[in-house]
Amino acid sequence: MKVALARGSWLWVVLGILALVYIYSVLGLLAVTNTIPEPFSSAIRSLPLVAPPHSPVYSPWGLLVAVYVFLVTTGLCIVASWGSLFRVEEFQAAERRLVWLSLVTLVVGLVTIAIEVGRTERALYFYLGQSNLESNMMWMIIFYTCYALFLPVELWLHIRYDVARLAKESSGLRRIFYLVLSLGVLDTSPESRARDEKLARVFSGIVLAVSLSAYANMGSIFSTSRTIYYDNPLLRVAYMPSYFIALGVLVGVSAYTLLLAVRAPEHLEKPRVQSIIARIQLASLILCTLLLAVWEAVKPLTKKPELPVTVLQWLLGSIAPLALLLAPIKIDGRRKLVIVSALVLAGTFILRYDMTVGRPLVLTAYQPYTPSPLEMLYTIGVFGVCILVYLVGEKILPLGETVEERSGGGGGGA
Amino acid sequence: MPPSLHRRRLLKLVAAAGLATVLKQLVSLGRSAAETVSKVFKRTSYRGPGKYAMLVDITKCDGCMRCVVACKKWNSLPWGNYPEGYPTELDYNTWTVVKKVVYGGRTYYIKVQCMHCNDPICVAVCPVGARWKTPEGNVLVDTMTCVGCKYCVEVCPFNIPRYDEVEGVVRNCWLCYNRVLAGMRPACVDACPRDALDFGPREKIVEKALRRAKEIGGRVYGLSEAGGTTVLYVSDVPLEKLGFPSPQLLGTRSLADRELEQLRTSTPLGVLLGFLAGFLVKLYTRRRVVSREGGSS
Repeated sequence: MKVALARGSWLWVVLGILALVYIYSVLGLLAVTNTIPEPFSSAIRSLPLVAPPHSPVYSPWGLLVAVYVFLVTTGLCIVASWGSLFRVEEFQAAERRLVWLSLVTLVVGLVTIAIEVGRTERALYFYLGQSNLESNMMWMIIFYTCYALFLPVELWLHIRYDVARLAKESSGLRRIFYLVLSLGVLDTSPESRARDEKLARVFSGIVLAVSLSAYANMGSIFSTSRTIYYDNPLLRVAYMPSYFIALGVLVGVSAYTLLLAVRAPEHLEKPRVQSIIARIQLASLILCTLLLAVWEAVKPLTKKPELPVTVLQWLLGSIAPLALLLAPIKIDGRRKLVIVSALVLAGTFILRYDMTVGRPLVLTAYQPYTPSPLEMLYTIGVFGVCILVYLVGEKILPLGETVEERSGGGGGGA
Repeated sequence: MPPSLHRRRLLKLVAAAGLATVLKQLVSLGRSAAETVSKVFKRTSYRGPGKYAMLVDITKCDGCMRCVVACKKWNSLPWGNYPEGYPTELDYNTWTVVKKVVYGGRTYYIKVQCMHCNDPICVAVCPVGARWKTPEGNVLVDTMTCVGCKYCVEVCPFNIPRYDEVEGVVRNCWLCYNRVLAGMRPACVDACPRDALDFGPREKIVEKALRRAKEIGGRVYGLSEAGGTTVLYVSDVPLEKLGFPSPQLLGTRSLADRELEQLRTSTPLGVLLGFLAGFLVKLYTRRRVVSREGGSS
């Protein structure tokens, strides 16, 4: 008990430090672009690791854009929909947690791009009608806006019943909190629960459609910057959106596996669950490896390939996980899946970086891009913040399947 | 006939009429939605060759840099501390440079600025419509609307727009639109002492470029590359040898058209693939359950 507590405390300490790193890097990035008012801006710019400006002239999109793309295309909602919309039993174990994690990564990803974009406040013009409907980025904004609006509704429908019960059972500030969260809908009858489930299923379908549209439009943006010069329409038009969806499935299943390993290990112990996860991972890994091979052939036109990045993305994102899944290695099935999932997540992040950073090699001298210390600090901090916010959510929201399960330790903290 | 049958028939009739009305409404709604969608996907910015064009004759340029100085002066752009005495690369405060390239034992001076494409991809991709093309041929950017997403920087095949990190917006050459509107030539053209630059009605400039290309046994770049550009180059060596993107790479179809094609296809494709993945998972797990139950019985 003491050891478990100590471990938990250490996790919170580490996450706290990462959150501080994140805040420092955010302040630095905002000071570099003069977003913070001048006297403060100058003061922050004089702090260590803040100067020089974070994004070089020759590589318009850098590490922060890669972080954004990674966080908003995690595919968690795709996997969540397999449980809630398609009613696949194996994916119903951590449905609420998946939706919550999906929301956390989406919001943190959107904050990342808001920091990276020069004049974020002007994005509001778009909502006032200043928009270019022939831009795929504009459609991406529309779909991500819908995604950010519908996802909380889906989560609310999943947890409303338990929130209402908690509001009735608790007292003081907790009661007020749950009352606000329930939006005054305190009906805890079985009928209301059935209605919530039905509505949650509908919203799960809407969220799935909207998120897939958002992913595909994100793919379309990369089509415009990376494959537009090719005559083959499959390569020019269909390749990137398909790759983004395939990667969404792969990353989503891997994140789900890690979530199960931490929060519902007994579910991951089941051979049936292990078998379906392994098969989906294998199928999507094979597909993504083929698409990665195409990417290797496509990319030299719009960027200078970097050997370490290429090696790492092949090794972590493709070869090692495939070898682990296919080779007859005597290793516990659960552990194998966890290792494969961690490798896939790391490999996909490197792939996102490789896809994001580039520049057509024309008319100007090529200058290789290296992320600035601030960008690296942000990247380290952002994953800590995602975990921290997720865990805080687990502490205060009924993310276990029922109130009973939650009080029985299902939604416990670290 | 019993009255209940009459009632039933009447109810059926009313239901059929109601259904027909709903269907008719749905059809008309679908039509108007389709019209709206087609209007939405119709381009609003001017597209096509502009009224004017600019010619850069690479064989005549001797790299005097007067065009660079004139550009800075006219557009009130600050002159920085350049190690070589003049700027060698574009930046948000330097909208034109003259690059020195040695090819085949000969030195070429190439004036680089925005090409002002006939159907610019930077205009097509800007999410807030901060970029647009004028009927005169200039591609303009409204720095009061630009959000600084840098998408235009990313997709420009000529690598021209530059990001101003302090202001958080993108800037580049506007081909002195204020001068063009006043009936003048761009500042760089007026400043050229070697007749390497010219500006005027597009037909005349194209004619001059083709004539000059014939004289020197060279080629004109920009007539059809990526759908054509307002700035044309004439050179006695292929420009791709001097660092320009090759005409084969750019093709003759506008990049903005290709972007629109990508936009139209991506969403239905993504939704289809994503739902297909869900159905496949569902089908697979159901088959497994059925086979397991079959095996156990």
